[in-house]
Amino acid sequence: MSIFDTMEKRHHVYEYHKKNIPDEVVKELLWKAWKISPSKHNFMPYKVSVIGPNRQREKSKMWKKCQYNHKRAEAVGANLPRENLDVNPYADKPEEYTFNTNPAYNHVKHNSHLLIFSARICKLNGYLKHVVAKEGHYAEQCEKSEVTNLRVSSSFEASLFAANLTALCIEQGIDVSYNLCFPGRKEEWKNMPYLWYDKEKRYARVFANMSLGYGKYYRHQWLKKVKPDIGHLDLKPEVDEVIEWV
Amino acid sequence: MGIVDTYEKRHHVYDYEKKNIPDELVNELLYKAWKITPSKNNFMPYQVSIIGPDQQDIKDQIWKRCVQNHQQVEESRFKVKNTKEGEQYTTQAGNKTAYNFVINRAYNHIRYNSHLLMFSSRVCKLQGYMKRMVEEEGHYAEQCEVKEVDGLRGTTAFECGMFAAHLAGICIENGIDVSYNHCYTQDRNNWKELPFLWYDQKNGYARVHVNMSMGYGKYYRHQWLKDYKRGTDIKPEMEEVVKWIR
Repeated sequence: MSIFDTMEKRHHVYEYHKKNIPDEVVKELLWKAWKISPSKHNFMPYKVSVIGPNRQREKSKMWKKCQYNHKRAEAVGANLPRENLDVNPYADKPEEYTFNTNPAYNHVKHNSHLLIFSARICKLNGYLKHVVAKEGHYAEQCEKSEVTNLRVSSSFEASLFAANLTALCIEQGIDVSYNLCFPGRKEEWKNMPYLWYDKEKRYARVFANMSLGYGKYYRHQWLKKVKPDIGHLDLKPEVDEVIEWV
Repeated sequence: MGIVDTYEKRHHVYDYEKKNIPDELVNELLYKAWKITPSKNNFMPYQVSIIGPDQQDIKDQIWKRCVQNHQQVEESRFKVKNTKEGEQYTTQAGNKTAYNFVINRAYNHIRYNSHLLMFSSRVCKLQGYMKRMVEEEGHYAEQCEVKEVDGLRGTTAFECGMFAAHLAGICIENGIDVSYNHCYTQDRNNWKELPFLWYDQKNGYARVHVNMSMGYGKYYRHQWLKDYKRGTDIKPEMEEVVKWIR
């Protein structure tokens, strides 16, 4: 099947079936994605933390962070001072705003496997070791101090892996969903040590969450059912808004 | 053809054939990539600028920026000491050496290709569904605010990666090669001469996430590694990248 036909089957999941994907199948899909995903200088400056069916607590932690971040983003939108964003912004004026838990985040909490993409510090392979030692190359990907500078390109690379994994999953009848709403600051991951790239300072840079499972209820169904008056208006920007010939 | 078979054919190009891809075909491939690429809240907060075969001067400018950025990164990270013999650098490997900057051949594809695609940030417009969510439910659409572009860089780059990965797969299915580059200036002020990249028209700011070239490959990096006996440049082992949280 072509990539177009494969990817057209992807839909954002609101609820997964309770049936889990066997770990062996997930491992094989991850191996294939690793094998076909390119990376600048072969560094792969990211890690994929896989949280399986038996680690519900970790999934719930991530879900909470997404919720919190969403609430905070809306507070920014309401023009509250940024320095006060760690405090519940609406505590003293609850009548002005009600935070609704977004069902789009359900998949982060309830899924077969949750994958978290985050920054990692790389080691020099044989080839790069030679290039650094003999030709004066600077390998940013091996330095903690460069993680923040590299967050855009590392995020891009992590996404190549995620997109390839998605296609492989869909080929196998497995659904995936993404989430990009989480705290952006490196200091906000103290309670998830496996994400740290700097163990001393307990810093992490998260790029995306991706859940895997067998879909039961999808966003497009929810839009039809819960937002019948406006659901059909949820469209992408036109192709010429995104693609511009120079 | 399966997903693995398709993506295993991708190789980084050092030289493209002089033959160009017809614009109509590029348009069709881009349309398909746009169609199958998901985006948070359907915003697609990036633009893809296409620089065709007749825009060599722009490709030259972009190539120059990559080369300058590479040099600037290396020189700014090495310790410099003035000696009788001139400037002496201490490289990342701790070598004290007179540093000679060499232009990396891996950038050739940015200059000489059929089409060059530049992925950069754009400020979105509210469409029907989101407009109602913002007006009636207090949603904050960060993607529509110029001031949020910086904060969204990581997640926007992730979204660009999905588009690029899908486009790459579709291109390979059509016998077209692609190569990526993300060595360019991170400074939003450094794109004043390329107004088509600006997300902020008033200040002339641009945030570039990646360059991607397209064409028919003639000479590839893996051949160059062999021809110049550069040794094997291998990925980190899968276990270094994929971590199961037990």
